[in-house]
Formats: sequence, C-alpha cells, structure tokens
Amino acid sequence: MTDNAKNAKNANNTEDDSVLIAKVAKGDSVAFEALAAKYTNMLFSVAYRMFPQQSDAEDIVQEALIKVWNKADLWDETKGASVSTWMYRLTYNTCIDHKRREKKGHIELIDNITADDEQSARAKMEQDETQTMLHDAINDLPERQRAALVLCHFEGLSNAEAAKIMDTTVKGVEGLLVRARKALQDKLQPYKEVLVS
Amino acid sequence: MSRTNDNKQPMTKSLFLEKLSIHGADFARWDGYDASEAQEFLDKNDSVKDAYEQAQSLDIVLASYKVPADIDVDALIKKTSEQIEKDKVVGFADAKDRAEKRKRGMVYYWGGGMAVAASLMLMILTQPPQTQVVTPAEQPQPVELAMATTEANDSAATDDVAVQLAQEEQRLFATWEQALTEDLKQREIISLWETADARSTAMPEPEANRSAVTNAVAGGDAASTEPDAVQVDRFIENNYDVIEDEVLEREMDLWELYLKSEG
Repeated sequence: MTDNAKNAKNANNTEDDSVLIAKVAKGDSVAFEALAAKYTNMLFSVAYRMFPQQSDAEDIVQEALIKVWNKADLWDETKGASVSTWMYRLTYNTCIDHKRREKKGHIELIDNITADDEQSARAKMEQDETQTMLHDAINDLPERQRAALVLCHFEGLSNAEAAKIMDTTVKGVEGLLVRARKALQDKLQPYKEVLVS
Repeated sequence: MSRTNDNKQPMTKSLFLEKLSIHGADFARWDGYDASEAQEFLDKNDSVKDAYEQAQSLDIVLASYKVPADIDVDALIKKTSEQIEKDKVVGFADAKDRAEKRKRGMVYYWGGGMAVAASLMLMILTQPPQTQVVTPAEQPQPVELAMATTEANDSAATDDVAVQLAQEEQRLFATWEQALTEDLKQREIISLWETADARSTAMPEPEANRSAVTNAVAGGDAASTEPDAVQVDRFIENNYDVIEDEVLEREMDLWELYLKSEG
C-alpha cells in the first residue's frame, strides 16, 4: 500500500471528516484548512499522475479545494461516500475538466508552444531516463485507463471506490485496469532491461 | 478501502490470471483473497509463473514512478484560501445562506415560470372569438374548418365555424337561386321561342280572322250588330297589340339570347 493510501486510511476517520466538512459547509475557514492539510498530498498525487506537469497538478488541486469549499453543503454522508472518496471524485472531475479545456484551447497552446516545449525539455532533462519513459508511457494511456490505474494502483483504492469516483461499475474499472496494464507492458517491453535494472 | 469479498470463488488458473491482469503481482491488492492463498496457488502452479513475473516486473517499474516530494502544502492551501477570498466565490460566513438561497431560488424560478404560463393561458381563454374574413376563392371547406379547430380555443373556433357555415350556406343558396333563375330564363326563352314560332306559322291568322270577320260581316252574322269596320279594327287591335307591342319585339330579343345560349 502506498504512503498516500496509508495517509488516507489514517486520515479517513469518518467522524472527524464529517465534522470537518459540516463546519466547512457553515463557512469555517479553520476547518477548511484542516481538511485541506489532511488531503492535499493525496489530491496532488492524483492530479500529478493525471497531469505530470507540477504546475498543472497544483492548479488542479487548488481548483478542487475551491470546489470542496463551495460544495461542502452538498456532501451527504447518507449517500455512502466517505469525505476522502468525495474529494477524490472532485479532483478526478477537475482533471477531466482541465483536460477538456486543454483540448478546447488547443490554438492557444500552439501560440505558447515554444515556452511549453522549453519547459518540457528542461523538465525531461532534469528527470532520469526511467522517469521520462514511464512518464510518457502513462501519459499516452487513454484518460480513463490512466485514472483507473492512478486510483487503484497508485492511490491504493479498492475497485469499488474507484468505480464510485469514476462514476462507473466495478467491472468497468477492472476492464480499464486490464487494458491499462496490458498497454503499459507492451509499451515498456523494449525498455524492460533499463527499467527493471 | 475494503478488499473483502463475500462472493469469494475458489482459486483457479483462469481466476488467478484474471486477478493478476487486473491488480498486478501484489497479492495484497487482490480484492477478496488472502495473500497467502494466492501465494500458495502460485507456488503449486508453474504454468502461471511466467505471467506472474511479467506482472511483477511491471509493478516494479510502476513503483519507481514517484510524485515530486517538494510540494509546499501550506503554500498551496494559503494560495487557495486567498483565491477564495479574492474571487469572493462565497464569503466564509454565508455558505449556509447560499445553499438556502439556492433552494429558495429554485422555488421562485419555477413559481415565476408557472405564474407567467398561467397568465398567458388566462389571456388566451378570455380573448373574444374573432371572425375571419374569407374571400370566396379561398373559402375553406367545412371539413377543413372543422379540422382547423384547436383544443386551446375550442369555443371561439366553434363560433367561427358556425359563422362560416352560415356564410357557406348563404352562398350555396345564392348560387342555387342564380342557377334556378337562369334555368327558368332558358325555359322561358324556349317557351317564348316556341310560342313565337307557333305564332309566326300562324301569321295569316289575322288575315284569316280578318277574312272570317269579313265573311262573317259579309255573311250577315246575326250575332254581330257592330259595323264591319269596327269589328275588323277591334280584331286587329286585339291581335296586333299582343303581336306588335308585347310579343314580337321581345320575341326577337329572346330569340337572339336563345341562339347565343345554344352557342
């Protein structure tokens, strides 16, 4: 189990979280900051693996936290989702929104392509070869396959929790996981020696 | 985060490979199965070892994929709080009020919409029915008119249809009367023509009558006490009044009309 999953598990004291979120719904900024401190690393981990640029991931986390603040009154304990699952879901949805905006703003991105390329190249130079290859392989996965892998494999969530976050069935998540792992295996096969060594 | 499974199936090769393809080589991730159980199956079945090793090597690679540890959580939270304050997405104190307003807003929204709809319906229902001006060429058939009625203004439409039906009836009567008149005229023409024809063939009649009168006068009709001239004049007067003044002049006009109608 990953560190984030362990943190989330430790933090996933339902009573504490439900109390905190209730306070946030009433406009308690201290409760909001406490909740944010508890889950920011976990949300960043998801966002970063969905959007490997750190600045993008930070923007996504910020946007997701603002959603937590604005929609705290909509969280309903009786619906069965824990606060952490709900926050994962907000982050996942923010990632999807971000991706859509990125697609729509394709022309604007082309305008800034030189700066982005430079930044990307510099980032790649800073990373080691393994990380770069992995980065690219995971980044090439279709959005939902990547999300299933991030939530289940990296975040250590159960398939049922991932299904709830991604608004699909457990079987759906399993299918996405199988395809994601198969695609990664095929893609990384040529670098197997380098990667495993 | 629970990985228990009440519908646990006995481990088979296909199930092992399925779980391996979904969760990878870390048995702790396998929903509903103890790591020891999966490990035991692996130890006893060499046929799954290749697949297990492949999955294991992918897991090792994925495990090396790290998230940057240099994220400044406090700075990010501070930035977020400032952003919330700056955008005034919602004030810290009025989150609850905002939720209430949102709920009330929905009531006002739908209530307002329904009030507008009700007002429009009332306007339509209270509007007096209007008679349509229909030119004879465009005059709709009764069936079309009946089909044109709608449920919304049923009574008004019914009145309109009644008016139009009455107009249609009048028009039909007028047409029928006109046709009847023309038919009568034709018959009259024919009748007059026949009469004229008959009279024209009997043109000598006055002469004959005159002769008869003359003869009668000459024969010394006992019944006639009038002088011959008076009797002749009266006879001529009676016959020629009809022929010259009444019949013959008009007869020529009617004759022309008759010829025209015959084409």
